[in-house]
Amino acid sequence: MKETRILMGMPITVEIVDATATPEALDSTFAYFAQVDARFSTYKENSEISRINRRELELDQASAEMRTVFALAEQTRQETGGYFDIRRHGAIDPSGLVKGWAIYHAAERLRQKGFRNFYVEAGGDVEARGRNAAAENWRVGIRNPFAPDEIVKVLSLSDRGVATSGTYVRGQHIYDPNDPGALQTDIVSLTVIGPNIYEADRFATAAFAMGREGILFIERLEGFEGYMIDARGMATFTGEFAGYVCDDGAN
Amino acid sequence: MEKYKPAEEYDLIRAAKKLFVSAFVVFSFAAYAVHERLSPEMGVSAVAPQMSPTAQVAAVLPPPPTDPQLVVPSQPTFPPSVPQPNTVPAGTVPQPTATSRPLPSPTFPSQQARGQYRDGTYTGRPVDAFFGLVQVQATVKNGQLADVRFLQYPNDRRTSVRINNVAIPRLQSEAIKVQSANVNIITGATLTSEGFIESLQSALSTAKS
Repeated sequence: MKETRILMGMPITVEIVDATATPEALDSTFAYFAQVDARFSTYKENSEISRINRRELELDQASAEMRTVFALAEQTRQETGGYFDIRRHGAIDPSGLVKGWAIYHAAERLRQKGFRNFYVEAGGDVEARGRNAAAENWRVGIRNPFAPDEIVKVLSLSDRGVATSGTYVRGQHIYDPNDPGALQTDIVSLTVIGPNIYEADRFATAAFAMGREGILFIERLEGFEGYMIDARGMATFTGEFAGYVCDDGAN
Repeated sequence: MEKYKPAEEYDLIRAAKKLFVSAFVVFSFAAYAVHERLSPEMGVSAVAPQMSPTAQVAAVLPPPPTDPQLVVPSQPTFPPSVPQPNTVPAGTVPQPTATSRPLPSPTFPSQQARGQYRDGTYTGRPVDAFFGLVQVQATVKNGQLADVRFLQYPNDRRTSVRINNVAIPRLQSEAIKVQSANVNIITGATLTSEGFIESLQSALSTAKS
């Protein structure tokens, strides 16, 4: 059972392979994303984050979810030397961290309902659990950043998160804290595979902002693999990345 | 929503943007080349981010009454092992500062109930996405969004700027190669670009039943 809806400003797809899948499970997952959007969307005037940004609400009076996200964002900022930062023009935009965090929680909610074989994908970030309808690991394609209808790599994943940061992303914190105002332009796409989408997403975001060094950052992170594509169409990938690659995907 | 500009102004703005991007790329390469000449020779490029030592994932905060399952993702066997840089150029300290401007608010049909769209294929308008035009085509099946295809996308991102890729053990390189599209899921960054969402919205606005 599979459905795509547009929420949080992006297409979100949920597919549940388990025979016990119900429309209610899909509806409930999308309802969760709508709830996250209502709380964290900087485009919504009455969202909790907008009220915080207008100083109508103090952080210590905010919801536990909000305080959790702020704490996680600060931790990520420190772990990445400032390359991940939700602060913007004196306001806060946590959308980059919220995306992976929400996908992860949506997947956990499905797991708690008893589902084991499913994926949740939002805006190109994926949490893939168990196996696909053919009883194989999920086949995940990396989009060609120069020709988005083409695939340049096929991955075989189970119980992993995969996130891709790229040049065309707007409104997210893709910048170099050492050179404010400069957009990173050497690398056009960085795909990170991690133990879950929350971890993959936050590190993909930070590593992309590091430019060419980002793949080195991922290489040094235990449990993560990365595939970086530069503006010339050359890819650089980490030591264990090949273990995730489907060789039968080659044309 | 972006206003649609007159064609001549559109072309001028696009040319100016391309000139700016080209100038920035050349400047970046020049700055990098100068930086490489000035830095001491190390095994790794000297521009490595300053990072804190190994950190554990944050502990659980008190969950809200309505969602007792709310937890922080935790991996007991995994603390991210954050690298210490070999060297940091003097004066390089992360200065997190906001840079991007606020985006216009994208508007969407607020309720995506099943069957809201009529089946068919709908073409969105081309939208300027800074590096070029983005235009998508949406396919609706059984009242739901089933597929989105790119009709136009920015394709002038290839540059001939050569940047020295210092060899790091275990990192490997290859030219990207088009593969079979026989996949279940696609990961990529383009789907959250402003141009994509605007073009998709314009396609779906004609699909509403």
